[in-house]
Amino acid sequence: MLKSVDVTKKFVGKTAVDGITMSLEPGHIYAMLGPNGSGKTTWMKMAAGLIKPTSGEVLYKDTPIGIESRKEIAYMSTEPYFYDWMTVGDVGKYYKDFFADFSMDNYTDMVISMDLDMKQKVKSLSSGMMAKLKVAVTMARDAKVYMLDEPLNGIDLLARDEVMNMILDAASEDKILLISSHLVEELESVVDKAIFIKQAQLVGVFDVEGLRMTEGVSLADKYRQVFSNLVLEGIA
Amino acid sequence: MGNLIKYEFRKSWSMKGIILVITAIFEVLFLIGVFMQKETFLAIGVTLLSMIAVCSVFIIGIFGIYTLSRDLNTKRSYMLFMTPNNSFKILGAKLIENASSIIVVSVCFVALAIADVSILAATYGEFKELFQFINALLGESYYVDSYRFAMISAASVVNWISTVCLGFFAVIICATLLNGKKYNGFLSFCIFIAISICLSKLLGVFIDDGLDFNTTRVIIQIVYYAVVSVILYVASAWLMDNKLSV
Repeated sequence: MLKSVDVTKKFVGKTAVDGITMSLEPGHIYAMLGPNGSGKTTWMKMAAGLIKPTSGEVLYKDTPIGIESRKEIAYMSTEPYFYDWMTVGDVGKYYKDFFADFSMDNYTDMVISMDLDMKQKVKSLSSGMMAKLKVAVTMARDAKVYMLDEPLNGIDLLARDEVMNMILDAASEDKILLISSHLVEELESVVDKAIFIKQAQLVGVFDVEGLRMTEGVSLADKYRQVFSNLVLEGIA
Repeated sequence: MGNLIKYEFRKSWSMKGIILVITAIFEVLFLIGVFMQKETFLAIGVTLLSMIAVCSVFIIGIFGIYTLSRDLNTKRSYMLFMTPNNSFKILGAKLIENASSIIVVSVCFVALAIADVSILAATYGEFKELFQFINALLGESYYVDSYRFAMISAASVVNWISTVCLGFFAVIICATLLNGKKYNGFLSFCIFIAISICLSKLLGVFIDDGLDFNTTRVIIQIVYYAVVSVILYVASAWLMDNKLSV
């Protein structure tokens, strides 16, 4: 449903994504893993239609990413992006105005469960509260694809559980969930596929259960194997 | 597109509120001068009202260009480009908001000027004769009446809207074709100046540059700058759709 065909993105003096080809299918929760600067965010932004690839293309339902795909792809950026003048309530109204799949009721429930206040200005939110707001407003959409860039950043342990529950609630057979995070252990129990990106290139897309069964390693072990020179007992 | 326009208005309403408050203060100064016969207040009021009338139209246009720049070059760009709207709608909403604000503010200041002149004329009987005297001095080619004032104001407003469109175009070139390049801000400003000079020269092909009032010349100016605005809008939106990464 979401395909990346030999996608490359070059910035001045740097290749952020280098020839990534992969296919994401509904019914799976994917973890996108890689060190800082490996190209995860850039790839997600291309899939969200915010950045144009230098070459190659990202296809949604066999059509290049564009206005139509934005109706069905919900993207949560890792950086705060709301207007300064907005309150938490205004953010919900904004999404309601632009996304037909947005549910104000779900948003209100999530805002309450995350101890946010509808009247609070977004510019006065702490980084943790801002992170919760971004997740709530993204997950209140009934999208076909959710792409969450570092949704657990800045969130305390209890709120992380709430965020993970929200993500799991959204999962279904007809949806793709893609989550990037550095917190590999946190994702291990939630995702069933893992995409490893290293130095702008795709290392591989792994089945998490398959890793345990065939290679006898956890997702975190595999991460260390791919990205670290450190050799752990039982993995080498 | 209605929602896009609504949020564009929301972005600029604090700035417009400030203009409104400042104008109200200057108007109070003027009215104190008129009704309390304080000529210093009257002179200051008239001067400041004339200044704010001209400045506010410029400020609204420049604020529109600044807002576009922020919307393209900061993370808040996601608020626009994540939504299922193409660049023609996004830029169109910005242009409609800015142009309609410029027109509404211009009309409001003209209405305020007419009201203030009427108050002056009613209070100081000789004021009307003063206008007639000045017009007699200016002669047939240069005198000012309501028709000429309206036509020149309309041409100025359309001219300024086309300048704002050119500003949008320069900002978009900076964020697309010149993105990531050294001195892209300076280069886009140079492009703005260069195109501005070229457009002015091109207008000179169609009309002479006389200072006397001529209806045909004013109409050609209005049509010319309206066409320029449309061309710049289409070119800018095309660039955004095809070259912009936020």
